[in-house]
Amino acid sequence: MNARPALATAALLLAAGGCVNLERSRDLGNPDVPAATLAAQVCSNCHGLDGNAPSPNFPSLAGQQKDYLEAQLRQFRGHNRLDPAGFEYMWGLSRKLTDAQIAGLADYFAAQRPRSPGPAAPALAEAGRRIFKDGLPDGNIPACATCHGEHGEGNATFPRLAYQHADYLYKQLVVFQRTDERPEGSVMKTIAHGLSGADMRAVAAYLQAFPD
Amino acid sequence: MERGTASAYSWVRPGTPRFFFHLAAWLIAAASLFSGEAQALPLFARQTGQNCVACHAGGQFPALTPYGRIFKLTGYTIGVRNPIPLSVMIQAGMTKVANKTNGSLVDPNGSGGNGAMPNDNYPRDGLFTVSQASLFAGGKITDNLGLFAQWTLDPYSQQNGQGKWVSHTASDQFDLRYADRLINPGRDLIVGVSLNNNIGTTDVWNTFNNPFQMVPSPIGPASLQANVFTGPQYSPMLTQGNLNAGLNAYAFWNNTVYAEVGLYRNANGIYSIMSQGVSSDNTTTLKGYNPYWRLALNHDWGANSAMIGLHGLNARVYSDPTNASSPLIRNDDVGIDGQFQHILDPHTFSAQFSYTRERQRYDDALWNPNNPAYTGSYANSSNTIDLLKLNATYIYLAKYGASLSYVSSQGSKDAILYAANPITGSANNRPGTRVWIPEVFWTPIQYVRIGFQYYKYTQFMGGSTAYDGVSSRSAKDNDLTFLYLWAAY
Repeated sequence: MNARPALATAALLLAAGGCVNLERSRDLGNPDVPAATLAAQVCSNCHGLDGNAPSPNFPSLAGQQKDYLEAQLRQFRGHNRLDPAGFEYMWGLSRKLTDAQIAGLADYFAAQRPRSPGPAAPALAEAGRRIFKDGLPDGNIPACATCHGEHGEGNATFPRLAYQHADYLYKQLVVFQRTDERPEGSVMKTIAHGLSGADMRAVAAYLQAFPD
Repeated sequence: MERGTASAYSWVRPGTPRFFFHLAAWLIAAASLFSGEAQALPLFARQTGQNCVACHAGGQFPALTPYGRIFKLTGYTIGVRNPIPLSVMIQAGMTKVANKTNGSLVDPNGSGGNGAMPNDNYPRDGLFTVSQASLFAGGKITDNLGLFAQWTLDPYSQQNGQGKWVSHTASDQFDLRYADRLINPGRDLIVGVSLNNNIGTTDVWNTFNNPFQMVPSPIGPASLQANVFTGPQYSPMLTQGNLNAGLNAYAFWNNTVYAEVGLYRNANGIYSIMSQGVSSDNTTTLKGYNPYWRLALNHDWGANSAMIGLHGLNARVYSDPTNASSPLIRNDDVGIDGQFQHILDPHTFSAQFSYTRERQRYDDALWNPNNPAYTGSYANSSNTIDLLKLNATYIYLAKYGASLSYVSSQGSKDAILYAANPITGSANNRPGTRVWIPEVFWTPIQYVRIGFQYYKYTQFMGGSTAYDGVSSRSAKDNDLTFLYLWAAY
């Protein structure tokens, strides 16, 4: 039989595949791959190329605080963030990232423009707005805005919350309230202690829509 | 990681020393490409460091999440190159047929049947059986090149003259990819080529030419097997494990439009790595290069993902796989398929459908009694078969699941192809078969799955009662219970 087409194909594949392709690499173990390349080739699959995650399974990173993003990636890399969404998806991806790559990824996503994933029911959003702005004085729960900013924009390692997926926010509030899986956010355990499920749903819905 | 059915070919010869030599050489070559630290998870999970749920919907095989599809389309290259690029998988189970007594023969000496019911149609019925053990190799090789390869040992490949089972090891699935992704805010284009060994292996939606679910061990009459496909025998599109060699090119634009074309030929000569364990005579199934195509429209929104697609094949298949000058069967396949997924932890819901129409046209010698070389294989010069597959699956917490499938294969009447015959024949010379398959399963840890399926036949080979033309056997006598264990590491 004529083996030339197959041999030529195999040679082409090996020649083309043998090169390191730093500008379009998906290699998470090569410290030379630029952060922007990793953001586009790997992170974008779940978090969106512009950091606005299409699926509520994954948090939006657009406009997130750089310090928070860096801290979280280090927490994942060091296996210090133990919530399932963290270890199922992020431990492995972050395990070989260098400090420089982590800083570059944080810069990349912090610089993206956040967009709301969708509106919230008005009554729910109003209940959430009150918790965000005023807290629940009866439950000794401070206003979220105190640390996360009047516009939900965050501050250093206090994350941006505005325009985050409501489903993600609700599940993380549950993690803070009921587990010790995010030790770096232990302050949230105290704060979220008195929130009911309905309170958490309301504030999450408000933050996703963030109408003002 | 669903099983192929290389073992379903009863004419396959047992594994040869040459095969194991080639396997060892490939593994050494592959291993030499890899370096780094070891992790204790199956192949791809070790490479990305992620849990199975990242790529597989609800953590269950073979269905892929949107991210899993990108992982495959970008050539298995996301992650850290794997030091031990191997995984193993085992499937075991027990099948039980509703009625092993075949019913009384209507006409013991009738011309349609062989005069007597076979003595032992269900040799492993009700016995716990290891149906296959597989070795996988592959993963990321370079920034653009990756491999998914599977070799499978079938402990019950065939029975020898003394009735003892003989095992057989053969290539199962093979997919070597080169892929690149051009992505910027204005455009996302994934392009790639794949060298692979089975139509459907390259597809990332698993809607056609792939079982939706775990399938019973291929033991017993062929018609009682997994895919309940009862149509013409030589169909690269409608049956799996054909072990051909395909070179495919594909593009996925903006996560929306997918197009793929491929050419399939015999996996012999230089391509024989993809059909190791299958003798070269038996890989002579296709004449020349045979075009395959696939188009799909994909849309992801929120936690949902939907796809609608078309697929097709034009294949020239030898009527005798050991004879490259035997008369040809020309298959023209075209089909429509689709999928909907909703994935939002802890819930995973998916629904799939696939409808494929195949028209087979036969060389004159196969059907025309006036042809001097007449083989008497078919009564018609052409036949059609329509295969419909539906499935809905719900999975909770990536642990507990239930699914319902429906498969229907209907075809044209052919008095020779679908002649009366015990169990697998047809009284009205039609292949029509319909089956409902409810299933429950449990995945206590991500490497182990235990499940139970029930195959409820409402029609079998064209009828519901006394369908085979030689006995009083009913479709419901073929109902099957299937308890299985799947494990991979």
